[in-house]
Formats: sequence, structure tokens, C-alpha cells
Amino acid sequence: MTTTPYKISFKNLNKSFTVNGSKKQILRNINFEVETGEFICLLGSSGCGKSTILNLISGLDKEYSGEISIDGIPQAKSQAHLSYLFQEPRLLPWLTVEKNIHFALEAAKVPKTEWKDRTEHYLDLVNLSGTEKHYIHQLSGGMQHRVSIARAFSVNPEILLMDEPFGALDELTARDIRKSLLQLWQKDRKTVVFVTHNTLEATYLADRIFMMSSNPGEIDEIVPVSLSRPREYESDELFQTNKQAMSRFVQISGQLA
Amino acid sequence: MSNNEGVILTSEGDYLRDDKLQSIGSKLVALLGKGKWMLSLLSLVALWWIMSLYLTSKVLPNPIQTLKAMVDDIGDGAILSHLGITMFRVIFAFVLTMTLGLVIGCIMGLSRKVAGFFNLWMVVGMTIPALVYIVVIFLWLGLSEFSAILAVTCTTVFTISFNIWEGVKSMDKKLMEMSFIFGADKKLTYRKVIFPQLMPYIMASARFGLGLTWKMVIFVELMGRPDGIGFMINYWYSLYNMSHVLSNAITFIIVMLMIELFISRWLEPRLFAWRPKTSH
Repeated sequence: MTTTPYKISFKNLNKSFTVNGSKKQILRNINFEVETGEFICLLGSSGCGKSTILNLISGLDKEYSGEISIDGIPQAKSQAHLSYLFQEPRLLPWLTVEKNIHFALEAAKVPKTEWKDRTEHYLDLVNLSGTEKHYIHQLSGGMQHRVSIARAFSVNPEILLMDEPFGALDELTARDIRKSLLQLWQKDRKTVVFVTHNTLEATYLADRIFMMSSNPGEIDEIVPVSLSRPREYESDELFQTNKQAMSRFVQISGQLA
Repeated sequence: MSNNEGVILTSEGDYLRDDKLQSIGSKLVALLGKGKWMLSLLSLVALWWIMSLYLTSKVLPNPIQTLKAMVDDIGDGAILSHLGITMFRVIFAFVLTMTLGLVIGCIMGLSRKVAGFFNLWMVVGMTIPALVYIVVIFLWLGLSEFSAILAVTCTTVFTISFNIWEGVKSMDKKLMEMSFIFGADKKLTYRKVIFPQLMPYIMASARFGLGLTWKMVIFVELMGRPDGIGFMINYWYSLYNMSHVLSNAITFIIVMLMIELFISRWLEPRLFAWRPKTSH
């Protein structure tokens, strides 16, 4: 009877750094667990340290006190495959669309024989078939984001980290891409940690929303979203849930509505 | 109905004819472009000719006299062997400079401590006049092939290192993070993320370095080698033979121009095909 460990767990995590001699705490006493296959949204206003949490999970940021484990193993020793969707697409402009995906596949040591099929498959899923040979500057901003989604999924990651990936897009394009994201996610159920400051986005996407307040960054409340999937943008249930989430979020942030 | 079809047909025909016309037109424009280039060259030669009318042929021989000297030089074959030797020196010094420049530039770029320490050295290295390098190295190491190439390298390597260092400093940290997250190993990161970012700096340095190197090689040959174009120019200079000075210089300039054109017209467009085209 062994219990499967949580996919991601934070225990008593604190992080601070020193600016001009004075110590500033970024994250205080962060505790949470994420189950395998869960879609988590970290919701907070800018500067609350939500991106820092992603950097800690990914190992980009290695300075902290407390414990971070992935599959029950300390982060530093974890071999888990991660993918990261950044605020910007962060594609390599000197490579074509397909070569950008090949880059991620090569990095993840995926056998070369699978590259072609995987690239085709994931580009198709984000509606970008036919752009394989295009250079990045030949695509629109939304298309570039979709390439980076295809790249993130193509390596078949266990954990997908997303840092306000659609913040720079217009709302209609963002909706479109969120929808493709959920379709992809429902197919292979990665564990996703998604950072956003948009409550509607969080309610539309998440299984659970971690609400954060700033100075120092803390997780104040974990709100489950029990809406069935697939969710509809214009549905009343989503609207109601968003309204509740929003008022809760406003209370937590201590700001006037 | 049939009338309509007729219209469609003629319009299609027009379209095709337009297409043909356009391709002929673009060829004409291309020819005119080449013509412009010729025109520019011819007017330069014409200017030279006009000036030569007012000066004696000892001071400035006219283009025909120079061309004759060139044919003579090429005819007796000596100029080609001198040209070969000079080219060998240019290539050797250039490769040495670029290799050293890349290594130094990368080391400086990767470690802030190293850069802080050597920054002053670099500036001093760049400030020392070329003549000082050449004289000092000839005095220390004698008038050998090795000292000639070393002297040329010294005059250019600091500037090249500086450029490469700038390139390393300006690398996009965000792309490096991306590479790290996806688990790319060192080799892949160098190949696909670092090197392509440095490529524009390397190419700019290479063109600049090549231009500087070949001028320096000529200079060093004049100062302390018994062969090469620089030596020949000095030889004809001492005989006060202007047409041969010009013929040697022009032969060499033509070769270097060819190399330059090869890089800018053929190599660079292929290397940087991924960049958006800014203008024609």
C-alpha cells in the first residue's frame, strides 16, 4: 500500500532577497500540493511572486528555504520532464517553425524518427498545419504563441508551467488559444500550473485556483472550480463562478472593488 | 454567355501578357541596375583619365598605360606569385585573428570578473599604433614570416575580440532560459541558441577584420618582407614607376573586391535568410 506522491508539493517555502542592504521577502510560508493531471491557476496581482513559484518549480530559481518536491523527490534531483510557456513565445527566429519544435524534441532526447510525426501532430492541433517551413517573423503574434504551445506539448511533458502566456494577445485570439489549450490538455492530462491575473481566465481553465496576495507573496485561499468540462465562455455558470471568484479575490487583495 | 467567356479569356490573356511584361520589365530593371554599376565604374575611370591629362605620366599615368603595365606584370607571371604570397598571408593572419578574437571575446563575455580585469588591456591593445606593433615584433623576432603574420594579427585582434565580446554580452537571456527549461545540453545550446545569436557579430567582425588585415599585410610586406604585393609596390615606388605601382595595387584591390562581393552578395544572404527583409 504505497500512496502515490503528489506531483508537485511545496512545504514551508520562503524566499527573500536583499536590496540595498534591506531584506525583502518575496514568498512567505507557501504550502500546497498538486495532483497528477490537475490544472492549477495561480491568481494574483502583479508582483505577488506567482512567476517566482514557476521559476522555483522549473529549477530556474534555486535559492529558497523550505522544500519543493516533484513526485516526492526534491526538485534539484528531479528528472521530470517540464515544459514552460513564457509570456513571450521565446521561439528561435533563425529556425523555421518545424525546426523550433525539433529543437525541443532534440533537447528532450526524443528519437529522431518520431520528430516528423510529432511536429505534424501538434501543429495540426493548434491549427498551424502548412506553416512548417515558415520563419518566425512571417507569423502573427497569435500564431507564434500557438507554435510555442505546440512546442511545449510536443515534448510530452509531465508538468506544464505557464506564465501569463496570453497576456499580450487580444481577447478573441486569447480565447481561441485557451480553447485549443484545454482541448490538448483534455487529451493527455498533463499537470498544469498556470499563472494569471485574470479571474475569468482562471475560472475558465482551472480545477483549483490558488489566490495570492502580495508583500510578501502568500497563498491565501485555494478555491476549487467545480464546473463541468468542456466549459463555455458565455455560459451563466461560468459567469456566476467568476463573479464569486472575483469578489473573493478582491477581498484577499485588500483592494476596493 | 459566349461574350462573357470571351471577356474572361481576354482578361486571362491580358493577365498572362502582363506577367510576361512584368518579367521582362524586372529583367530590364535588373539590367539598368547593373548598368548603374557600370556607369559608376566608368565615371571613376573617366575622372582618372581627365586628371591624367593634366599631370605627367610619371605622376599619374592614364588608365591605358596602367592597363599595359598590368598586362606586362601578369604576362611575366611575377605578379601572380606575389599576389599568391600576399593572399596566403592575408588568409593565415585572418584565420588566426578570428580564432583568437572568438576565444577572447567569448571568455570575456562569459565571466564578468575576467572582463573587468582585461578590459584595460583590450583598450591599450586597441590604442597601440599598428606601426609600433610591427616595429617591435620585427625587432624582437626578426624579419620572418612568423613575425609578419603575428604583427598583422596584433593590430586587429583586439578590435575583433571587443566586437565578439559585445555580441556575447547582448545575448538574449530569455532564450537561454528557454533552452535550459527544455533540457537542452551544452552542445545543442551552443549550436542552436548561442552560435546563431553570435553569427551577425562574427560576420561583421570578419568583414571588418578582413579589410583591416589585408591593408596591414601590405604594410608589413613593405616594411620587412622580400616578396608580396606590398613589397612590389615599394619596389616600383623606389624606381619611381607610377604605372606599375598602380597596376600592382589595382590587381590586388580587384581580388579583394571579389572576395568582399562574394561575402556580401552570396554568403550573407544565405546565412541570414531567417531575417525579415528590411529593404532592397
